[in-house]
Amino acid sequence: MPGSDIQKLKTKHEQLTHNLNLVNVIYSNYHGKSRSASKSPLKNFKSQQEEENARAQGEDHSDCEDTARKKIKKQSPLYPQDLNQLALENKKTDVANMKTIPSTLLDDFTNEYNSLPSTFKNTLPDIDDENCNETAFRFQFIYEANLYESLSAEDRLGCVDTCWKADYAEFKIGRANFPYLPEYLLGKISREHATIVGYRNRRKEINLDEAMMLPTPEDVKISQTYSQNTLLSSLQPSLEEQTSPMKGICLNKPEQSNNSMHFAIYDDSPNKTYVLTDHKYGEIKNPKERVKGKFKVLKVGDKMELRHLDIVGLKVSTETKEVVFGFQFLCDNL
Amino acid sequence: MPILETIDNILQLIQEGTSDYTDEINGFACTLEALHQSITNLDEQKYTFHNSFLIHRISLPLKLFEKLFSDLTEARDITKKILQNKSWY
Repeated sequence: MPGSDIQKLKTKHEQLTHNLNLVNVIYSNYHGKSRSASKSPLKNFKSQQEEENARAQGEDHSDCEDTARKKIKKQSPLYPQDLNQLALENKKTDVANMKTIPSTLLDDFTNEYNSLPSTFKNTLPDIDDENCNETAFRFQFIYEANLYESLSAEDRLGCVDTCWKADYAEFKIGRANFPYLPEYLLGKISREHATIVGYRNRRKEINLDEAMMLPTPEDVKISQTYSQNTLLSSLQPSLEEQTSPMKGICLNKPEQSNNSMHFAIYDDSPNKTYVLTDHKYGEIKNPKERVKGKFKVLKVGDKMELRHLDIVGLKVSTETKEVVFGFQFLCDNL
Repeated sequence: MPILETIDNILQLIQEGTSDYTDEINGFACTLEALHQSITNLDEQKYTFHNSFLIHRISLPLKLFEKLFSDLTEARDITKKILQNKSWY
């Protein structure tokens, strides 16, 4: 009977409206966080998929969520304009009203969020981080070929940027950062695996200048000599430069400026962390690059300085001695 | 679960099925359109969350997805039936 079908449709309509409200509540819960995420120190965190999309636009991905994302961009003209308008208005529905809807489903969502480990929540950007505009260092992820292939396009993380917070930067590497990795690999990454810190002394140059203004006894002699040799000094490197204890520092100011940034890795994991320095790979562009070499093995409590292009292995194959999962550390020209 | 595809499917059925919308069908289509918009918004947010490691831990609760899909599938069948009956008149 058509009448009973209409009644059924009305019932379904009510249920879907309820579902719509729940979806909107969840959306509004996400929304605040995601806004800061987009401006966070991790704002340049790109999935491999994004990078591939940038490189080769139009590449077809069969993934369901990809399809959805494409749909957003396409803005299908299938539906009447008034329906679209209504949808937009519905999106703006009063969140306060929606939050009053009692729902175990919503509770599930809230509980799921609250149950996140604290280290995981720490990866959430703070509001203060929104002002981040200077990248301290970048991780360019490297995968063993089989591992890379086993991950979905969305999970193939490309790089992570960490920004300066004043003159300090820190990234805690932990299992919770990589929940998409297969179990066998997650087991090799500790809850708190390693920490990478960076610090810089932007005042160093100023201090050096100030220090150079303070005459040492030797400087006084130089000064006296200098005044007698003004003409000579204009033709050759100044005596001050040749004899000052600041020699080298003064002449190599740009280098000194670079050296005022320091990065270090601290191993917090009994699973060890592997660092490869002075290697032949240069800047790695291929995430499936086979990286092997003489890794320095860091054990719990060990630390070492990290330099641009160093490769950090979170898991290195005991058989092939190649990086199974890790990243290249980049800190120059970011 | 292809929720968006199912919504598209129902809306297409409605659009192709009749040019004379009843109030019920019209209201239902509006809700579906709003649902489509909300899900796509959420989907995009999920993608943003992926960028801060969160997608795998915070996502639209599976139960809600299942219920939504189930409701939509039933709604699609009912809509089909209504539109088929309408074509007989």
